[in-house]
Amino acid sequence: MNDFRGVRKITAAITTKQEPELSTLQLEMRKIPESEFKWLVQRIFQKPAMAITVIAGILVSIGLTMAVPYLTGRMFNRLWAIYLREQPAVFYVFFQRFFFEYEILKYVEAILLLGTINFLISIIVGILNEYLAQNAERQIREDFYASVQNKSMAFSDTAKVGELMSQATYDVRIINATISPGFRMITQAAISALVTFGLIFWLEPYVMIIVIFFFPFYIITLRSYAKKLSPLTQKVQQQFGICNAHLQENVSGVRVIRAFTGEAFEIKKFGKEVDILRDDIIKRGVQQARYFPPLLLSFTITLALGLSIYFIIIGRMDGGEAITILGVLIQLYNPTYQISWVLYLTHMGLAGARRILRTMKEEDIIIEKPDAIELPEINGKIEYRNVSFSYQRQHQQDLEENNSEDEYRPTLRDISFVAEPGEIVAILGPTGCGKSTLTKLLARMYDVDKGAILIDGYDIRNVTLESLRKNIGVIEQDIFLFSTTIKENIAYGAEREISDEEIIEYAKAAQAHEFIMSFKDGYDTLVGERGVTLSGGQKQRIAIARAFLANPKILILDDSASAIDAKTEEQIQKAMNNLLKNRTVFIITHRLATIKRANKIIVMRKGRIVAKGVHDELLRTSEDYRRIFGRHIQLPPIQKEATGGAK
Amino acid sequence: MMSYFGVGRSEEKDERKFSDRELTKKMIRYIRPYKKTIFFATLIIIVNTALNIAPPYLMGYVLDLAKTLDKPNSYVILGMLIFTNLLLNFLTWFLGEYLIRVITIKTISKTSRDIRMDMFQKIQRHDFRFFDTHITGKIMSRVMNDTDTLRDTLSFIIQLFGNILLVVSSAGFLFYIDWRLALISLSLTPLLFFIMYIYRKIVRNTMLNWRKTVATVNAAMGESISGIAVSKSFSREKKNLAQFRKINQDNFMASFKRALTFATMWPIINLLQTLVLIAVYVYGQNIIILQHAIEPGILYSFTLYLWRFYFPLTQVANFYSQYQAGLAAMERIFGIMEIESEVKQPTNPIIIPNLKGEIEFQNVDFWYNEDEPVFKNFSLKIKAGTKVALVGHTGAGKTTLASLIARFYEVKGGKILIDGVDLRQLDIPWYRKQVAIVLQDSFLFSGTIKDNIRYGRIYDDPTDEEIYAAVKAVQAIEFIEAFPDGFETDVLERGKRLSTGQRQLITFARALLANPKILILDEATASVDAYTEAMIQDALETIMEGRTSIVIAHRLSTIKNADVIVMIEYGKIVEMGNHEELLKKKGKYYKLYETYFKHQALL
Repeated sequence: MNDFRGVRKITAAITTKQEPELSTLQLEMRKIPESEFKWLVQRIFQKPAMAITVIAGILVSIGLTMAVPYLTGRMFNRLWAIYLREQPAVFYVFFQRFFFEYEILKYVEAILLLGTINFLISIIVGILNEYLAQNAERQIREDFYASVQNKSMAFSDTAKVGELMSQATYDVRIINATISPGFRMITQAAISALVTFGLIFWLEPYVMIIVIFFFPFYIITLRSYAKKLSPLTQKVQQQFGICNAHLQENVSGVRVIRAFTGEAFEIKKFGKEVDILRDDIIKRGVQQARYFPPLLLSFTITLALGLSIYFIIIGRMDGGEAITILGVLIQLYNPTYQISWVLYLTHMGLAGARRILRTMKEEDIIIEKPDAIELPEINGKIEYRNVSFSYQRQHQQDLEENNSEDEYRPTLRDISFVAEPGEIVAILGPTGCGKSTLTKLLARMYDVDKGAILIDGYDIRNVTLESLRKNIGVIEQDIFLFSTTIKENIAYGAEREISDEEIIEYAKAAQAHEFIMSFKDGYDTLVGERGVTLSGGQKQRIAIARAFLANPKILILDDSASAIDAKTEEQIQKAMNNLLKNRTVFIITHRLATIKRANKIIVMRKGRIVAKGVHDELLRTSEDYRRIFGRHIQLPPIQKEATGGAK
Repeated sequence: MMSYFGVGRSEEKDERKFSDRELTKKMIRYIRPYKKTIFFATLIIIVNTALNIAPPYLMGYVLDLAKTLDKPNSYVILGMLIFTNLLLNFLTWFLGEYLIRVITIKTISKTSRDIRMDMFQKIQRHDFRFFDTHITGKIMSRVMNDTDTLRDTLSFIIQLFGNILLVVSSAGFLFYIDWRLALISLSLTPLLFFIMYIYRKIVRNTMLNWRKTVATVNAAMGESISGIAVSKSFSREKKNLAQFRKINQDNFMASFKRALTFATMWPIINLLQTLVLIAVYVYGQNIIILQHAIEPGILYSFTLYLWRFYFPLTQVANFYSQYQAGLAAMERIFGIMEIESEVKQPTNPIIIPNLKGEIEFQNVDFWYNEDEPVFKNFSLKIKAGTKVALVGHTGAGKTTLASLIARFYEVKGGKILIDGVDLRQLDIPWYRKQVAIVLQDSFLFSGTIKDNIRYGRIYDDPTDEEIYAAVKAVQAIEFIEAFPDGFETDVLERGKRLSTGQRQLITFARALLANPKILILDEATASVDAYTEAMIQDALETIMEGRTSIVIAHRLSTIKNADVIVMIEYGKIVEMGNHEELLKKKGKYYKLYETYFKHQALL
């Protein structure tokens, strides 16, 4: 890989401006130019030496190809001359039986030689062009991957996974095809045209006039064809995607559909989309059929031939020249037919490039400050100071559209509290009150709109993202495990090589060792799509082991999902108890045992903190708290002594 | 993507269920409605070929003539020839290029749409075993991509006829001009086929390896997108990128190797054709000069016919592998369609007016896999209108019980009676409307909140008031109206925009709207926080009135409210009764309560 870096740097210097300085988390990415066309060209000329060789090779190859009709023409002239007894024949004799006319043999040998050289050059050109294309595909995919990794959380909330996947796989492949065979064929077509014109003009300028006459029509019909085709092609692709999405939902949601007898509705819905797809494909096909260039070429050839024959009759031209002209013009059929397909490829390629670029260019809203410092060893004191936040502001477009304050519907309003190092803070509240959001802000998955969040006195916006996040561990509501082994999932956050013993240690602390060993492959068991499906409780324990290993000072536990049985519950309690020691913990839970243990309970409602305190205190004084837990017993009336933020 | 000479087609080795002939027969069924159009197309092809046959010969003839003729009225002949040729040019383009393409695309698009709709409809009728055994991605690929492959094959077949005609007619002329030259030029044809055969073999290997790398790359991409939160929280972006670079590089090597074959094939074919031409010239000059058998112009015509022979021949040579690909696609398509459902609509379906909702399991046997029985001789009677709580460890059979009641699967032995009637005798669509299920994973469709709730009675078109009432009952009004678009808020793919708890409430409102006689809650309330759950408890109590409610839950509050608690262990009922009774027994339920439920209690 290293030798490529050198070329890449040179290319970068030639074709782009200087690469931007890398900050710790900003991954290596090439600067993206405005137009997708320019970007494509840059991709092709990533290796300029190869690209130029390809072009030169094509030039030579076409020259050789066009030389053959010329030689053929001369050969036929000789044939005619001998046949009409205008010239005498000179013979070679082989094996006393085979007679070959000398001059004709020379022409035949020449054709063979040219054919062979052409063969070799074509192969080289083909291989190089292929390399260019594959290399470009690889680079683009890597850039895309890096770009997606770089994106902020807001991106992943609204991005459709399917769309992104389609861009990363299908679009990238299309761009590959645009380079090979696309680029090669375009170059071939262009050079063919030039050589053809040159050759015909040299042979017989009057025939050239016919060619020149048709040429503009050729170009115009080609352009109009391409212009009309492009939106139709896009429509088909879009509609195909829509049908795909419908189908996917239909299959994923089959339980719901059957449960509510929605089959008839689904059939109607899908039917509509599929009908539209059919009509779109037909429209596109009809436009593809309206391809005039071959017809124009045929006209050109007929007229050129007619004129040539006239010239033969009046003695201005000989038969051989007519054959040459014909032979050269016929060479143009290949590119004529290919051009429509190549244009199609290029359109798709540009469309794909456009989509990819759009995704890559999407603004990162979480930007690390250039002078961000590393967060040092922390104690874990967390302070929220008058924090307000709204999801609406998180998208670039929204930033431009929704600037009015009255439309500002914050998810969090004026949140203030302090968590001392080592404290367990339980966060409660109804669905949608902002609990999860509050915790997401801590790791800077989003930035606050107003106020600030401080860790050990540092505003989290002033520290590097990497150092911030390394100190915060998250066990989320829906645990995401990667499709790899249990071992690798547990070691996911590790910065160094982790020994098997360590992993087992953490797994034991997380009460996961037992069930892991119950699998045939133990820690090497694959989980995820290609492996075993773990239950919620098992996933949670692996996540706990993962957190143990990463050993963050601050832990966020979103524990609302608890569809597990009692035995597992007991184990998780044990594991959690271990985990919560010596860390500052934010926990979203409804397990009463855990809540009772909390040093601080925060009750939220509609984005605000409505009560703060410990369990007994809140039971006495907070209406909202009693709503949660006081249902089963009769409680004495609320004591109106003021505690923090009741209602 | 264009593949040359049929090399590089998908060579999946699917086990064949159907023979080639069966598949072709099934295919023809879909084409049959369009047979008039196809017949018309065939006619056009024949006419077009006929029009096309003479020109090359004439061309050579005229060239010869031009050298010997120089009378003035030859200009008139020349003019007429030019004019006729122009007309022919247009006709052949119009018939052979335009009309044929239009007819083809119309026919195959309609056919392909018919197949897709058929597949979709059949899938709606398959039972759950099908979905358990088929991955979503595969199903999608069958419906969308395999039909496309089939469409391409059909298009090819339609063109095939024209190509064959061309090959045959050109060959005819070759022989007409000079049989010896014809033999020489045709002799290289088998070599051509042989080369393509070799290439197919080479490509197959490179393709397999390439596919593997592609799958790996796609998987890595997919994970990086779905797991972005985790990646970020562990600051794994750099490491992930490094790992991805490796995977990407592997894919690069495999792709390059695969593409190399294509890069070398065309040049070889071209070289071969040049050799044929050389041979023709070498022998041709002999014939012309020494034997004076044909004129040079005719030799030229010969070469034109050669070109006209070889080009469609390569298309025809493509045929076999294209046809194979089509068959493979057909196999996969019909494989999905023709699946026996276990759960079938009875011949005389029964509808019970005023269904009360009494459920009885009589000696029921059930398993997903034969060697792992879930229920053996299981019996349970649930009186109409009771609230039943199913309790037990994961895997005890509670969810299965619910699935059986909803008739998602069929019992293997024994029977289930609803209001005394065997479940299998009931009209399925009617019965499903009487049962509502709230699942644990709260699946929502992409669309508005209102649409999702309306789904509860999608067959019925409920009014906005009814929807609003259902939402009010589950106390979800507050958070819905907190959204700027309120009920019209788009929940996005799988309800991504809402939190887990919010999704739950919506599925709840949906079930409520359905107003079922039998309500099944599968661990529904477990994913919601205590505050919300408290609200739902209230709503639950309201909706559980007048229905048979079966709740699979782990929450003490839910269970305490039940009329009957049924504790299940490994497919057997171990204890049954209400909360106080079971506690007094100090049996298994008591133990469960002590170790688990008690943590949830206040005191």
